[in-house]
Amino acid sequence: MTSSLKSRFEFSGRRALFLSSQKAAVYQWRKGDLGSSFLFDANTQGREHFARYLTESPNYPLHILVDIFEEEFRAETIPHVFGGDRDAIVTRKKARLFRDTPYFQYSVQGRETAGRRDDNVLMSAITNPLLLDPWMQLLDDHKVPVAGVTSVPLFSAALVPLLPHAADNALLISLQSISGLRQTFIQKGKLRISRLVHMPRYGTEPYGPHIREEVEKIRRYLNSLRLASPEDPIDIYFLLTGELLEEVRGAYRDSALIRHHAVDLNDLLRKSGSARRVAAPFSDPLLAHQLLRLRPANAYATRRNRRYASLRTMRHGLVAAGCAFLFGGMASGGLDFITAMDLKQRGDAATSKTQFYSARYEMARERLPKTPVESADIQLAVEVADTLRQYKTSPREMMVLLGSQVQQHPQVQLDSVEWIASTNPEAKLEGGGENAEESPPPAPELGLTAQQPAYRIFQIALVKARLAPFDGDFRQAIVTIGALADALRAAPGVHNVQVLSLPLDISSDANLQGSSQATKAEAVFSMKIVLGIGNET
Amino acid sequence: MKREDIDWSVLRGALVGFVLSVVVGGALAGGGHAVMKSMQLEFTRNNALFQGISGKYLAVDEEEKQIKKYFPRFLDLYHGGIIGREERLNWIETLRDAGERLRIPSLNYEIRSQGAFAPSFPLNLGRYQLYSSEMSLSLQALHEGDLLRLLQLLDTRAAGLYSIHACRMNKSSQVIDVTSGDKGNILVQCEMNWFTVKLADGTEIKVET
Repeated sequence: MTSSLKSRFEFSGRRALFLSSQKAAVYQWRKGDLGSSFLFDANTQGREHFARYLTESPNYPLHILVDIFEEEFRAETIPHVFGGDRDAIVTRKKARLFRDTPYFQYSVQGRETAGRRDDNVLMSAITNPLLLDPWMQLLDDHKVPVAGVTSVPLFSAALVPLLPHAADNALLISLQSISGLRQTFIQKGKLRISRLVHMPRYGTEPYGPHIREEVEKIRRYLNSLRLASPEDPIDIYFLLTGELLEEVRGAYRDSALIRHHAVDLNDLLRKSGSARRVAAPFSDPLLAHQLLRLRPANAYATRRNRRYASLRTMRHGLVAAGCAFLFGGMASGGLDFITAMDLKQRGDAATSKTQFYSARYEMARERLPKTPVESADIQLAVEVADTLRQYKTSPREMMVLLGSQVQQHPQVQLDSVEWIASTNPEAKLEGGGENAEESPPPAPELGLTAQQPAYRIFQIALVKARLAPFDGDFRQAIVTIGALADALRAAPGVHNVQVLSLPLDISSDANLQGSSQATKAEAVFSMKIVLGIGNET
Repeated sequence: MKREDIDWSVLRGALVGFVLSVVVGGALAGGGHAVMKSMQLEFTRNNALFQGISGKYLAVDEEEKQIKKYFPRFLDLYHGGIIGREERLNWIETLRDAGERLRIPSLNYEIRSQGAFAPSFPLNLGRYQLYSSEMSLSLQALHEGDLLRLLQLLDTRAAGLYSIHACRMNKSSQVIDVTSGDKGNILVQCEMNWFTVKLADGTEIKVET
């Protein structure tokens, strides 16, 4: 079960080992055609020579083509399943049919037309692995990248496109110098039957009668299978050359079911693109040329057999990746370096221009007065001072306001004024303004806050004062204080006026006691005034 | 491929070559990038200098106008003690002079050491830093008008810019007696800041006279 994808890892050379049970021939590929070839006996001495050849020749990938009697084919049906299920079924079949060999392959050739439509599978194996094992061990010892192993019957379908006309039922008759007479029946591109017959040494006996005898045998067998019909006859192709080809030509008579074609091997070689010509009627060079040209997928080689081919692929991958990294790094580094040089030139140009403009600027500056700081900073310093002046505060405005209102209310005597300036109108005063809510509560109707425009800064004053003279009339006192608060509120810039305490706490929350005969000598009150400065609306 | 099928002698050279290629390629790419970044930085710096000086050169006329417009005021601020060094001696002399001139019965002051000041209002200081010396002022005034006149004198004669942020005025007696010149009727206590603008980096501003 060693079917694998076609390998195309070779970057340069390649070669083929054509192997039979008696001989082994090596064909080297050179400039798109067969190059030199070497022939070895399939015995210990031959393998020693082959080992020497391997040592002395470049370690190109090797494609192996076998043509041996010990290759068996079995047509089977298996359920139409895929993946692991199919592998399991095929493994069971292989164990039953070809127990003792690792050189096994199968191919699906179609499906049954009835029933559960099982797959038709052609299984084949090299039943005597000892024929192949010594060669494979030798190749492994020499670290030869074995691209794959296939056989002449399996590979014969690749010859069909070279034939003069297409035929659905093609019987290929070919002679291989190292194996014998091979008869392979191919139906619609699929291998059906293949048979190898030993032939006497070339030149010792005429081949014509042998071929006729063997062709007659297989013809009878095919007739028994009823594969041919008048609508679909069998085309027999004799792949020969020279005198034997002429001998075959006209020696067979066509019938309704059988047609004969004598095909010159040299025509096939020409059609396959080879410049090589043969005089002997053997197909070995044609098969080797097609094998190296097409490089078919591996059929029989195990993963272990092909490990050096896989390692070679990995090595090539590593080399390619390394080259990619190297050239990528060079390209990236080179581009960056070119960019850097460009930036360097532009930077130098900028420096030159800076020096030029600096000189011009200094010349232009000479006509300007010497300043301790830059002109922009001169303007900024002036603006800072202006801003500070805008926000400069003093109690002048508050004192003017209080002075004018006290003049209008002569009964009011100021005891103390606590004053602060802040950007926050709610800022707390140190001396008790913050306790306004905790002090004697303000009369609610007197604590109204008017809607005021936005001010830059606020002056906040806590004023403590008294009414003098005071005759004990609290009602009148409250009215007077209210009038004062209203007058302050109406003054320009006043943000808020809040009466914090009155001479008499008349709120419902407070305890109140006194005597109708007694008169209170003082009417003390306090209020908070917030004055806005710098209307910015 | 199984591990036991790997013949490392086949891959060793390619692996070494691959690692070397990665290292060399990475070094080339990294080195090129580093050089490019360095040059980019240098170019950016040089170009910024060029942009700055060319902008200045093109704006030199504007600069001249700016200097003509603001430099006289800058000089006034410098000589007025607002920019550069503060004029503590001048403040003291002004206060003493004002006390005598206004016949303020009692005038006391305390100036604390200068420190950086962060205003509560928005102020673009640029390269400058605002400094402040806090002063406490305490005086016995015959009436409220004394404080106003004192502030007016400070405004006109003192070198510097001040701002009062808190004051407290308490009446000493129920009856204001303005005839007694040596006894105050109102105790005034004020807290104020004397502002000075200096360069933030500590460089002294010197005006060539």
